[in-house]
Amino acid sequence: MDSEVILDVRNLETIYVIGKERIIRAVDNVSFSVHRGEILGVAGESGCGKSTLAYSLLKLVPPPGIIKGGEINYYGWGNKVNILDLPENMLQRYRWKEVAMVFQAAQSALNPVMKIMGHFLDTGLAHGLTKREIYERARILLKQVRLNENVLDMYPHQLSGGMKQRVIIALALLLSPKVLILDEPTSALDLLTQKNILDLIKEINRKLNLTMIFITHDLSLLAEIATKVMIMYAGKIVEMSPVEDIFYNPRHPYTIGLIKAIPSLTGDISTVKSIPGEVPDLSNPPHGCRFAPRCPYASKICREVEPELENIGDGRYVACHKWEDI
Amino acid sequence: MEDMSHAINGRTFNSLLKVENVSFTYEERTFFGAVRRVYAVDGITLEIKSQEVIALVGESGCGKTTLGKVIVGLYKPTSGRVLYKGKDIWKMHKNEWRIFRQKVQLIHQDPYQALNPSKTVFQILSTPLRYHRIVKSREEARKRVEDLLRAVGLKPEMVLNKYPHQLSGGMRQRIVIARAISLRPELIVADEPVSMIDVSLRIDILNLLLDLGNKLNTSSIFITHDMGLARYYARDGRIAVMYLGNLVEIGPTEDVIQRPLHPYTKTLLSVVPVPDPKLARERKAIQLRSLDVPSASNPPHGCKFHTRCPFAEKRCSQEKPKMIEVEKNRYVACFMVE
Ligand SMILES: Nc1ncnc2c1ncn2[C@@H]1O[C@H](COP(=O)(O)OP(=O)(O)OP(=O)(O)O)[C@@H](O)[C@H]1O
Ligand SMILES: Nc1ncnc2c1ncn2[C@@H]1O[C@H](COP(=O)(O)OP(=O)(O)OP(=O)(O)O)[C@@H](O)[C@H]1O
Ligand code: SF4
Ligand SMILES: [Mg+2]
Ligand SMILES: [Mg+2]
Repeated sequence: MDSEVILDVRNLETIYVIGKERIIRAVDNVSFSVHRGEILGVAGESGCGKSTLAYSLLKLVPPPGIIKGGEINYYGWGNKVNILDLPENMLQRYRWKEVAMVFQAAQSALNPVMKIMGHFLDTGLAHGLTKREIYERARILLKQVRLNENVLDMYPHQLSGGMKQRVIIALALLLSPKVLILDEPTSALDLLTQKNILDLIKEINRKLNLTMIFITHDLSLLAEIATKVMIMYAGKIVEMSPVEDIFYNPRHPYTIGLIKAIPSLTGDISTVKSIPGEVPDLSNPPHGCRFAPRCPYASKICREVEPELENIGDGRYVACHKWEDI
Repeated sequence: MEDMSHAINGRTFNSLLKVENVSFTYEERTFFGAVRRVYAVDGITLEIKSQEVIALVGESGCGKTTLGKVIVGLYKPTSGRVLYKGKDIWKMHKNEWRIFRQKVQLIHQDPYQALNPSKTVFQILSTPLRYHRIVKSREEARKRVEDLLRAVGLKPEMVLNKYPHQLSGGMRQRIVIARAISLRPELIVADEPVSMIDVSLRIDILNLLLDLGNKLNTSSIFITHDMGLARYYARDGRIAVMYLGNLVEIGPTEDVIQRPLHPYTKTLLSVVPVPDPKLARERKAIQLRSLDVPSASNPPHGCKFHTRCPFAEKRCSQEKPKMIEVEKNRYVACFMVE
């Protein structure tokens, strides 16, 4: 793997302001970097802040969300540029051209009365491509996602779920981005189609050396596709490590609990069990470590001091006071 | 909990419920006024024994929910029979029907639909008890509701007077389960009961359903598209695999998972994500001839899987394979396995 950093996120804070009293800290003091060519998998339960993190990376957080602090440093232009400082016209050159995204539930966002070609034209023309260029690229991209080019002349409802998802991936690649964020790209698809899309994503990653951030609530998927895995819990990164370490040698009690809570087809079924307690309310998270109320290893310090995401060597990061004892 | 174990009146029935060659077809009017038929369930035979646990699996749209609704008597089959203790439920007398509806309960797939938002937990749980005359007074109702709440792991004083929206998803699902067991059912059909529950809490809910089933001698059918959850829930029971309105394979759960026989089951299991990076990258998925799922309103002739099946031969497109016991307790509908 190329070790060159392409995105470096420092102390990112994104909140949703709901009335005077309620602030939801959806992404809370998050730091990590993404390296060129890798597939960073992001997993965590519903509501932990995965999509908010993705939106933040494009500076596209929908209201009432705001990015309250931190830096998103992009290195794709050669030198370091903090995206959060960019004026709107420069952001236009960053979004889709540098970092593109396949949104969660994007299939339903396809315009039902517009043919697929129209979707390519819309995106391309808005970014200064000519019709001819758009047509040429669209044909190449459809081939890449293994679709026949006659799809261009079809309406979305004429395509299956898997075909639509492939069209959306092709659309996201129209402006040749260096980083592609995929937010739950397979969750609306059946298992067989999901497998097909995963293979496709891996192939694109390899052939184009495209950097990818793959977001999912299904941790098992990441065993297949990711090179590095980030586990989020209640707005925070709790662990981030190479994929083998996450599955074979997890260090954070939440990662351990999550893996044990998912019955698989291969593992021992008799040891499967839920994590006790409930996911915290992000407008009023617990003091200290957010996982402490549910953690079997928690002690006094855990309930008082918030653990930092610590570099424990070999590309592994853990936010837990007790990681050495686990 | 004590008094609930009387649910089965001391008699054991080998066959509790049987669907016999059951089909269910939806009829929709299209925009142009024509009738479009969706063959959601197509000639299924399945027997549920007393105290048995069955996981019903298959991909979205294969007809699981429809079959579940036929089993509990919400939908009348287009053809075929549903037999409860040997009796055709659609030929029952009023009183028998009432008992059937009490003894066979459905937990709905959609949890938002399941609980009336304008009623408190006490009202939600006490209404059916009074309707079916299981309790005679408000006092008795209160005591019984408290017992039920404790049975599903909730503190009565904490939830009794709350409305559904004041509860977490997990607590709401426990209320739904409490209501389902309150009428002392003999069979519970649970349609995706944990799909809206946090991943880290799903096993708790499944354990609750299993424990209650054991204590009350209730049979259950667990509908899911998640093979891992199916394996867990029905580990002491059977797994039934559906494809496009048909049952293609049924057998003891672990046997089927470890050694699937039907090509569809084999294919499906070969693409379920496994939480093991080495294994995930080594194993070979079975390649289908086509990824497109045929439409349930215009299904293929013969074996419905033949358009995608890598093993299909000429015969598969002409004749429909029957469910055959190919090994002890293992039923498969495929010419290549016969
Ligand atoms: N537009 C919004 N307004 C208010 N709160 C929001 C909004 N969008 C998200 N949130 C809250 O922010 C938190 C994080 O949400 P987010 O969608 O980022 O989570 P997620 O991990 O992507 O979840 P999922 O797996 O369900 O997609 C949640 O508590 C959510 O309720
Ligand atoms: N009310 C309805 N009217 C017409 N067609 C319907 C109706 N409900 C379901 N169908 C169709 O019947 C077939 C079976 O649907 P069903 O809901 O039983 O599948 P399922 O296996 O439960 O799917 P899921 O896993 O998505 O819940 C599908 O083709 C579906 O589109
Ligand atoms: S910091 Fe403490 S409470 Fe948090 S995960 Fe580690 S041991 Fe558990
Ligand atoms: Mg999301
Ligand atoms: Mg269903």
